[in-house]
Amino acid sequence: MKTILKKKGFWILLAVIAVFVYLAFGGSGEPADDADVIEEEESEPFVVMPENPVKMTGETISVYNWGDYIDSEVIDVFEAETGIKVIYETFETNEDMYAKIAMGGSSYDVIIPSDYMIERMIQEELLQPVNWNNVPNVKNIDPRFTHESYDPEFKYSVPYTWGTMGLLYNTETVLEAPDSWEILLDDEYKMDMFMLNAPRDTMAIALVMAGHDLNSIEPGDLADAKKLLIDQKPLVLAYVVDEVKDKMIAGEASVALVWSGDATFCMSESDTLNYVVPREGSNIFYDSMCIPHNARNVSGAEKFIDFMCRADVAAANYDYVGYAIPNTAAIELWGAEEYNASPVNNPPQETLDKCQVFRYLGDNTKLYDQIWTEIISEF
Amino acid sequence: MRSKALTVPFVLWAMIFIVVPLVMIVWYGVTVEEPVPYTEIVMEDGSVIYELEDGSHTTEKPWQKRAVVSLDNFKRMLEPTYLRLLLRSLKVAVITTIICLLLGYPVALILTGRDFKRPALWLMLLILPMWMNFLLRTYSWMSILENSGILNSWITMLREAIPALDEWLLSKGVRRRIIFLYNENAVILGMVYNYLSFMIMPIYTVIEKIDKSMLEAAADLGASPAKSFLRVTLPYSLPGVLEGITMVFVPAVTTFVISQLMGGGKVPLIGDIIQNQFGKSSDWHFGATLSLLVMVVVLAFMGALNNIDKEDEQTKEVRIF
Repeated sequence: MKTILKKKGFWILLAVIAVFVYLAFGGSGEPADDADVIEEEESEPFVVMPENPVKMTGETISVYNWGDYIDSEVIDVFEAETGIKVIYETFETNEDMYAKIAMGGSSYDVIIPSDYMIERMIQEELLQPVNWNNVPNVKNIDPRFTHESYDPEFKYSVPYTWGTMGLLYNTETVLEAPDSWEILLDDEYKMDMFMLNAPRDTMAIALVMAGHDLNSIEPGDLADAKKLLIDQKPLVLAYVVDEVKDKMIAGEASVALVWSGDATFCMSESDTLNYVVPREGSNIFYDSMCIPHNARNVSGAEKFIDFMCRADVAAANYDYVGYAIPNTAAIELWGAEEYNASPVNNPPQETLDKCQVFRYLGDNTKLYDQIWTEIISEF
Repeated sequence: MRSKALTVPFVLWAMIFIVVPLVMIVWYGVTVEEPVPYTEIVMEDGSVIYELEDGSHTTEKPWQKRAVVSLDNFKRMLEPTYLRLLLRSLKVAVITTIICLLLGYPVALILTGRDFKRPALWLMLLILPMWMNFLLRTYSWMSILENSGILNSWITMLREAIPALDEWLLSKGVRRRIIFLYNENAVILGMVYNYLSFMIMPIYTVIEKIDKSMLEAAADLGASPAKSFLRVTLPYSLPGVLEGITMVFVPAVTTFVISQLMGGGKVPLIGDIIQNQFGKSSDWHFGATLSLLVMVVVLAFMGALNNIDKEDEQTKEVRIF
């Protein structure tokens, strides 16, 4: 090592590398600093404090949720107030979660799957009805977000968060703010838009654009959607997954088809991005709390669900998670005006009326996959 | 006796982590899921019950699935869509392997050269980036090549500094932001970068072991450096080349992350489609069928390479030109 350090060449190389690194990252440092300052000025995070703490009783419940989808302080408060210890585990996809429950090897007391998976699990008798007498705080849940087609009788699930699919656009580079899916077929944005590399999701939007039901399995409807997406291909810069967030923040393209959760994140990182649910309608999704058929501690699970529906708890949790919530009382407490100012939380009611949840398609999911493969392998 | 006992852990390991998964892939590959058969029985009071094959009755419509042996997935696999994807994967992998060979062989040769000081240090510098996670390396390439990336920002800087250059480029129809990513070339670049060291290492190791006295003898007998390279170094380095080709080609043909990240989903390879089957589409059966197809292709390729290797052993001297 000593001899290397003596070599002139080594030091020149090091200097060159330093210059490159500065050119690459140093120049763009300043705007980021500004953003930090703005963030500091934002209001204090919403905190919830335990009321009447009790001793741990030795009772436990196990909760199975998406990764990074709860404010861990909320769990601490629940434990302090009820004395019930929460065993918390996370999953990455609905399918992972389903496999664990369906195999029957492990037992959870509260799970938080998405709509179509809840529909499937109800069908397969993997969930048990919630006893509303033990969940009084369900009164806080906005009736606009209950009785959806995945749980039409509102028996098995309590909505935890909801979201939509929509357009994330760069206000500086779009000609005018979009309010329709038509922008995804506009030549003006050739090689300037991102689509999702997700069969069901992108196909659903194509179905809506073609004027069909977004859960359609009619060959004719699907053929229309397929043709539309193949015609659109020359306009698409890339079919992305998680990368869409970094890319939109960096200003890589003007428009992107995104989930509202990603939109919230991007908009918090960049002031030039905005989100809209197009007027033709879109997909709306729910992640809802359910009790699996083989839960060991049903009363503990009900206490947990009731606790999560409490206004202050749901507000604190919203503060952390950032997904739109169906809890009217919590929105009031958190600040309805600021909450509703976000296009993610508050799409117009007439648009929302045109939004539909994904239905569980069973074996027909394969149809979507096959068509999607044909679309992306067209070259 | 003792040596046999020592192989037990290995055999166990191989059984659990190689044979069992392989059997499972084959099983999944040759089966499909279908609903359990049942017959509807309408009761006197108008309600419907369902009788399953084993004679049991239920009031709920049965939703259970069972796996049945079927070649449906093989039929689906042979559709043009999937064959085209396989062909494209092969094409991309072959190009990647050729570029890696063209870049890697000279590097290995230079590193083993007599005049070259500190080859170990340079070899380490070449290998050093490989200590980083390959996703991170691919993401770095993305941030270099993106429309809003480092390379484009330098080009913009240059164009702003020299207006004449900017005008000339615009007149040639070059966009302000050049799209480097999201095409096949970007995917190949990502693969070459990630797999190059797998080509250099085996070639370097083999060339380094060549007895230098053979080269000296060739020179003594009047062979030019070019001739002694063709007649001594090249033939003796072939095993390393073949190993390098295998080590680059096999991962290149099955990769999926590089094509998604560098190609922006516009250059899907067979690996991407297989991954979709196990992820988004959750059709493990078809995914297994497709991976069987890839396994057959890779095996055929390795078999062909092995044959070349064997011919080598017999003649010991290979005349390439």
